[in-house]
Formats: sequence, C-alpha cells, structure tokens
Amino acid sequence: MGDSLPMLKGTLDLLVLKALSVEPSHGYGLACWLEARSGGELGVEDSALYQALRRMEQRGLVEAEWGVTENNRRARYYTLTSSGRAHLTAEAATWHRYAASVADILSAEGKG
Amino acid sequence: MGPHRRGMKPGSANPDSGVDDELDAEIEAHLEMRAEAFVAQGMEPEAARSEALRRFGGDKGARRALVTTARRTHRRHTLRRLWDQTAADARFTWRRTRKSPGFAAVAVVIFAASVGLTTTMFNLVDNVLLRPLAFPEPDRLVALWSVGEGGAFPWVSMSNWMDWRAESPSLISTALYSTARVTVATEADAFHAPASRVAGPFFQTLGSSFVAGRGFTEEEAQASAPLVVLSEGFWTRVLGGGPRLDGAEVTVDGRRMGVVGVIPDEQALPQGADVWVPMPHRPGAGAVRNNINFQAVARLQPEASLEQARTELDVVAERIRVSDPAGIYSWGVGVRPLRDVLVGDARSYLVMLMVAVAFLLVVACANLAGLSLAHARQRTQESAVHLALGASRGRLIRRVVTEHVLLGLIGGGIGVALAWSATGYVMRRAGEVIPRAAEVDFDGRVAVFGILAAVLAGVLAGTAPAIRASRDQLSTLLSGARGGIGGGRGLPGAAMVATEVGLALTLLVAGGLLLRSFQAVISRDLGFDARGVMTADVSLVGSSFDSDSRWVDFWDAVTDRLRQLPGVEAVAVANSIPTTDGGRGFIDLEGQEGADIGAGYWVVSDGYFDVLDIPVLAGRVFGDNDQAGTERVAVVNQAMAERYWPNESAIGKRVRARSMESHLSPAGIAPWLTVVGVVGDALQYGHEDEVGADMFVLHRQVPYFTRSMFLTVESRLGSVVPAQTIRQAVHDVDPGVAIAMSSLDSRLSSLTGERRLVMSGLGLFAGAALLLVCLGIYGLMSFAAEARTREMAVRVALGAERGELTRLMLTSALQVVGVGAFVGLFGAWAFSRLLDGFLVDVGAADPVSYGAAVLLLSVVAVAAALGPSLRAARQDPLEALRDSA
Repeated sequence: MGDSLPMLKGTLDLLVLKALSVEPSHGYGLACWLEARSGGELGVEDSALYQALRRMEQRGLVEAEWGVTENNRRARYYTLTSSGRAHLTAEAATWHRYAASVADILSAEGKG
Repeated sequence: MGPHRRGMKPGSANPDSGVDDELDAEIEAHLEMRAEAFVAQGMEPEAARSEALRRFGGDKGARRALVTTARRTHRRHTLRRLWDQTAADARFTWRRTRKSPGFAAVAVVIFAASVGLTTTMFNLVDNVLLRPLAFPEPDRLVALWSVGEGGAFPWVSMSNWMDWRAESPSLISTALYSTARVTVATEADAFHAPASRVAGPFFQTLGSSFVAGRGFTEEEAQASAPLVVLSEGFWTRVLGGGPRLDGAEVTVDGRRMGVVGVIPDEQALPQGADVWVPMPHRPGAGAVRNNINFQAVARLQPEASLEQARTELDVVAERIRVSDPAGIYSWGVGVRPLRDVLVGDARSYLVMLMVAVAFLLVVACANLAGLSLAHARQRTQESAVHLALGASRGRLIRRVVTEHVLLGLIGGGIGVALAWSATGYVMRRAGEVIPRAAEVDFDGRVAVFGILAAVLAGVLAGTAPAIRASRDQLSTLLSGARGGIGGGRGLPGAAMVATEVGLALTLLVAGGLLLRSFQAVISRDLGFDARGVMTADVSLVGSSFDSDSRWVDFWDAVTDRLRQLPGVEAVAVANSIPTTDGGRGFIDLEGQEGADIGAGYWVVSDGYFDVLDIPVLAGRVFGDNDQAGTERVAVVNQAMAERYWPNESAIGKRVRARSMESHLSPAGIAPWLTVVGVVGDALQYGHEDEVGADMFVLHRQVPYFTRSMFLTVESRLGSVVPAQTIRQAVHDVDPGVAIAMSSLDSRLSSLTGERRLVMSGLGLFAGAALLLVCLGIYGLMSFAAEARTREMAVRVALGAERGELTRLMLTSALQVVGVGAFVGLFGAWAFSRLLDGFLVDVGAADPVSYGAAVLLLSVVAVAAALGPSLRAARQDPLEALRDSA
C-alpha cells in the first residue's frame, strides 16, 4: 500500500469512532467500512486497526462483547460507550476546525 | 475454531492467558472473514489466507503491543467489575441487616470479642517476642552463660568472664552486670531502688542511647568512680530531673555520686533497673571461679556467628579447666541471643496463649458460620431466585462471603478499638509478670494484624454458608422440602457446632489442667506459716549505723522496740526471707572436707523460727546464750540432716560454710559451726520450690552479713502489723534508713503471678469458647426444632409422648456434641504438650480434667438445647401440620 495516503496521528481513532457511531461492528467490518468509505485511499494495516480498538477499549471509549455474525461466525463486536460518543463529538469538531484552518492557509497561499 | 467459548471467563486461574486466547480468537476470526471475501472474489484459499495475513500486517512488536493493551484493558475491567459487585454486595448486606438486625448484631459482638482478644494477645506476643530489643543492631547482642553438668545458667563468674573476654576475637566487646538493690537518699527520704553494678564497657557494648549525658567508661568502672547512670523514669519521676543534668548529684548507698547519664527506660538491663553504678573487676582463681553471681552481655563482630563465638569460648573454657583445676565446677560457656535470655520462659506460654486465642477465633468463626447457616432460610430464597435468573455460582458464593467479611470488618474494627483501649490495663497486669510487657504499646502493625484477622474470620465464617447458598436449588425451595433432617444428620451447621465443641473442649481441658496444677501448687505445705507476717526490707547502707560494729546493735534495738508493741507476736530479722534470693554455697562436713556438697545459707536472728512457725524437730534453736563470742552454732533443716547425716543425729555435728565464710581467716578457711538443732523443711522460694538442704546461722555471730536485713513481724491479731507502725519503730532508731514493706502473703502470691496470669488468660478463652458453644447449640437446635415441626407433629399424631420427643431432640444435640468432643479429646491431648512446664502433680492425660471438661460441655449442651427441644415437643400437632402444609 505504498501509494495510499499516510494516516495522521489520531485520525484512525476518530474514523473508528465514527464508524461505530453508526452501528456496533467487529474489527473486520470496520476494516471493510474504512476501505469502502475512503475508496482504499487510507492505507491502514489491519493490525493497526485492532491496536486502535484495544487502546480505545482501555480508555473506556468503546466496549466489546462476543457476538455472532450474519454468517454465523463468532466475532468480537465493538460498541461506542457514552464517553466514546462524547469523545467523537469533541474530536470531530476539533478536526473540522483544524482541517478548515489548514485548508484556508493553503488556499490563501495558492492565491498569493 | 475452539477458542470461541473461552474469552470473558471471569476468575480463571491466569487471567492473562484468557486474554491472549481471546485476542487470538478475535484475530483468527478476522483473518478467516477476510480470506473468505478474497475466495468469493475468486482467489485460491491458500493465496487468500496469505493475502489476509499480509493485509493484517504488523510485526512482532505490533502484536506484543496489542497483547499488552489487551491485558491492561482486561485487568482494568476485572477490577472495576469486582468493585461494582462488592459495592452491590455491601448494599445487599445493608438491606439484609436492616431486615434482620439480630444476626448482624450477634455477629458483630462475636467478631468484636474474638478479634479484640486475638489482637490483644498478638500485641503482647509482638512486643515481647517479635520486636527487636531497643538497642542498635540488637541481634548481635548475646548473653554469655555458664554451662556445667547441672545445666546451663545465665550467670557467670568474674574470673571466667575476664578469661573469656581476653581470648575471644568474635566478641567486639563484653561487659558484666549484676542485679542489685541500692539505697538512694534524697533530702526528704531514703529508699531502695532496683540497680545494677556493671563492669567493663557496659554502655558501649549495648550501644545505649543517652537521653542526657553519657555512660561511665570501663576505666571509671575499674576505679569505682563516684558516677551513676539513671533510667529516664527514675531521673524524671523520682528525682524530678529535667532534660539537662547540670552536674546533678545523688546519694547512692551513702556515697555522693555524680549523675553522668540518663538512658531510656526500655534500654534498662537488667530489666526494671533504675540505677547503674560502676564495679571494678579483678581476677581470681580457684573457688572464686565458682561464684557465678554476674550476668555477661557481649556484642558479636559483624561477621561472627553464635556458633563461632561458642567454639572459640569452648577452647578458653577447656584451657581454664586444665590450668585452674581448683574450680570445682569447670564451667563451659553458653552463647545465646540476649533477647532469649530476657524473654526467658515467657516465650513458651505466650505461644501457648496465642494458639489458644487462635482456637477461640476459629470457634467464633464456626459459631457464626453455624448461626448463619441456620439463619439462611431468607438467603436461600434469594439465592435460589438469583441462581434461577442466571447468576453464576461463584458470584453467589462471593456475595455471601462478602457479607460475612463486612460484618467481620465492623466487628473487627470494634475489637481492635477495644484492644487498643485495653493496652494500658494489659500492660499493668502483664507487666508485673511478663518480661518486656511493661513496654507494650499498640501500634499500626498490631492494628493491621487485627483487621487482617477480622477479614480472615469473615472469610472463614462465610465460606460454608456461601457454598450452601450456592447449592440451594430453586426446586428444593419451591417444593418447600427441607429434606433429610433426622437425628441431627444433615442439619446445616451441625459440623460447625461439632468443630466448636472440639476446640472448646481443647481449651477447657487445658484450662482444667492449669487449674488443677494451680490448686496442687498452692495447696502445698510450705513448711512455714506466712499468715499475719509483715516483712520490711531494711538497709543500713548510708545510715548513721553504717559500720559493721553497729549493724547488730541496730537490729537488736529495732526488734526490741517492735516486740513491745501491742499486737505483735514475734519479731525477727533475716538476711533473706521466703520469696527472696538467699545465699547458697559449698560446705564442708567434718570428716569430708572438700567434698562437692552445698547448702542454703541463711543469716537469721533468734525469733526467726517463731515468726514463721517453723517447727523445731530436734535440739534447740538460737537463744540468749548464743553470743558473738560463744561457740559458733548452726541450725539445719530436716532435709540437710537426713541427706548429710543419714541414720544418725545431726546434733553436735560440725560443719563449715566453705564458700561463704572463707574470708574470715587469713588462710581462707571457714571456721567450724556446731549444729545445735534441726527444724522442719520450708519451701523458701514459695510453692514452686523444691526442698533443699538449708543451714541457718545467728546474725550476732556473723555481723558482717547484716548490713541489709529483712524485718519479719508476726501479728497476734487477724491482720498484719501496719506498715506505718513498723516504719515508725525503725525510724525511731534511725530516720535515715531505707525501708520497703510488704506482707509475706502478697510476696508469696506474686511468686505464682505467672501461673495466675497464664491460667486466667486460658480460662478467659475457654470460658468465651464455652459461651459460644452454648450459643451455637441453641441456634442449631432452634433451627432443628423449626425444621422438624412437621415430623414432630406426625409423631404426636401417631401417639408419641412429648417427653419422648424432647428426648429425641436432646439426643440429636448430644450426638453432635459427642462427635465434636471425640475429636476434641485428641486436640486437647495435643494441646496439652504446650502446657509443658506448667503442669504440677497433674499428668497431661489427667482424667479428672478431661472428664470435667466433657461433663461441663455436655451439661451446657443439654441446657442450651433444652429450650428449643421443649418448644418442638410442645407445639400443637394440628396447627403445625396446617402451617407446614
């Protein structure tokens, strides 16, 4: 995946939280979701994804429970906790502000 | 794919391995799903799998990081869940307690009492046995002993000590000290003080820390410098001294001494001493080597072991044996930790009492477990419902245990507080008897011990009820069957009551053995009559009569004066009296000079045998015709007469007090004494003494031994002559003498103080255990009565007599007691080994003690079971059947 975009720090967490805010999901489901949404642009190794999930579980942002997939396979399902939801809202706002200001600067320079 | 069923299994042996498996399972599921997707796109399964692995990526480090994070998460969650559940259990306990406060109250009281007693006992053990001595590097401090054929003694002779000291490189330094009594005179008063004369670098060896000033040095001790070291308590309390010495002086034994230093009370050696004075040491040979009148303390080199010092000193002792054979006893050397010497016998009985109190704690736990089981009907319903709703068994067990632990903590907290507040009392009671106990203080580690004991007790008490609760099934509950209750079998709590009975029996038997030994001891014939005898320890040191030509004059003046007082029957003086340490030494019998025989040596005045009512068996006792210049006479006791002159009369035989009176002639040979009478044997050191050979000499004929004497005054009235009367008579002759009084009876009972203390301690524990057994049996039978309501009703309906029913119930109670008692007999037999040294005239298998304990337990059991049994038999069968239907 050398041609894909590098991940900015903290971005993966944010995206995973976003994905889980739609519905609880297992790790593979999240990977598929990310690939589908980014059109394969975000180069994330699956292990990094699990790393992020476990980290957030430790911080109490997500909870996990074993469940059964539609194909009758057991998988570990992650759910957003209330503090995870609050974190998502806050981080998303920060991200938007940040992205907007970066974009502003870049476009201003381009006109320069 | 097996690992799926594993995972969130709480409480598995190694939580981390579960976490690893879970992580593996999660990743494996992920890989399979991804591979399936590739296969669906047309890939070969193997290629799909390796592509899935590639996409997963991550090196070893990543995987490790993942595992670490997962483990941390898991632990956090486990703790959190535990906390939540415990909080829920606590709330549950609170609700239950409010519903039925009776059980909780009983539990708290029992926990408080048992934990309180256990904590108090531990406090003593901790202070006396466990805590290091209050000196720097205390484990390097040792006591040197004399070891001979007759055993090992914590006493050494000055000459031996000097030789040992010169030739043992393992010892950094060593010093000699004696236990003594000095007369301290202030402007207002003269009084005795417990003291020690010390030789060598005493304070340096101990590493004493001085509250003020310094210790005297070995050179000062050698020079008998007029210097004194005082204990802090004596300096501040008795002399009213402050933080600075300011060149203070005090009169000790008639000599003005400069107070050179003050040491903390807990560093007093010998224990309880208040005054330390210098003592020169000088070598001596021959018989002097046998005068083991001193104690020796030494500090080992940092790298030297006890064994090393012992080996070294053995060589020295052997050399002395060869080079100085005149010493009759060739003492070897013992090296022991100083603490062992200070603690002495206390170790064995403190350990015994600690075991006893642990038994009591277990009885209390079994008691609560039993009560809780019998009381568990309500819990049964709740737990059955919980089980039916899917609660795990482990969870239920934990809840019940938590309930008991919480009650244990509340009760234990109260118990620890009680133990804390009782510290002062215990210190006073035990401090008179147990060495080091006067320093007892209650600190954090004792409190921690108490709390731990409470938690342990809670767990112990809660386990059986918890397991039972987890076994109760909804079906049994709904069917209402309490099943299989007959003849005590299957009664919940029967095993608990049996345990209690067994342990209580052990304590009761031990208590019985001690009580019987005590009775045996105090009912012994002492050979003298202590009733109505007042004793006064009087020292002429430093008084106006303090010269050897005037000492006897003083005693005669005082005894004359006392004899004329109304109510006084007889008066005498003696250099030692029963309960005090008399002299012992070697004697020569005419015709067997130089033989290795000894006798007690007592200096007494004419009336001594009258005062103590010691019978004269043959010849006469001292009289007016025996004067300083007349024939030197002695009176011997029956034991001495029979041992040394068997089958012949002792009267007229001649004897020399070789080691006591050898200084009287320049040649070092003691003068002959003629035996003029034989008196009855007296147990001079009180009830626990053995009769030995004793000889008595007249004070007028050995005036040099009369500087300090005991006045003994026998009253004609029921009570002793008042101390004030005696003090007045003494001070009329010379107001400057020190005097300390006590009745002979109280002196005698203080000799059995240790025995009394141990007996009352064990008695307390046994009594408490008995009370608990009583409560336990009552609870058990109440439960049984209730549970057997239906059975009883049927029996009554079928024509059974009520008396028969009562008997049936009582029999089932006695069966439980019988099982417990049977086991308890073995326990008692094992425990009685700990009583070694306390049993007098009573065997460890004394049938009376065992029988009495079993009888007492049975009576208590029947009494406790009677009420519930009668209730069970008395109920109306129709009503009972209707209720239980």
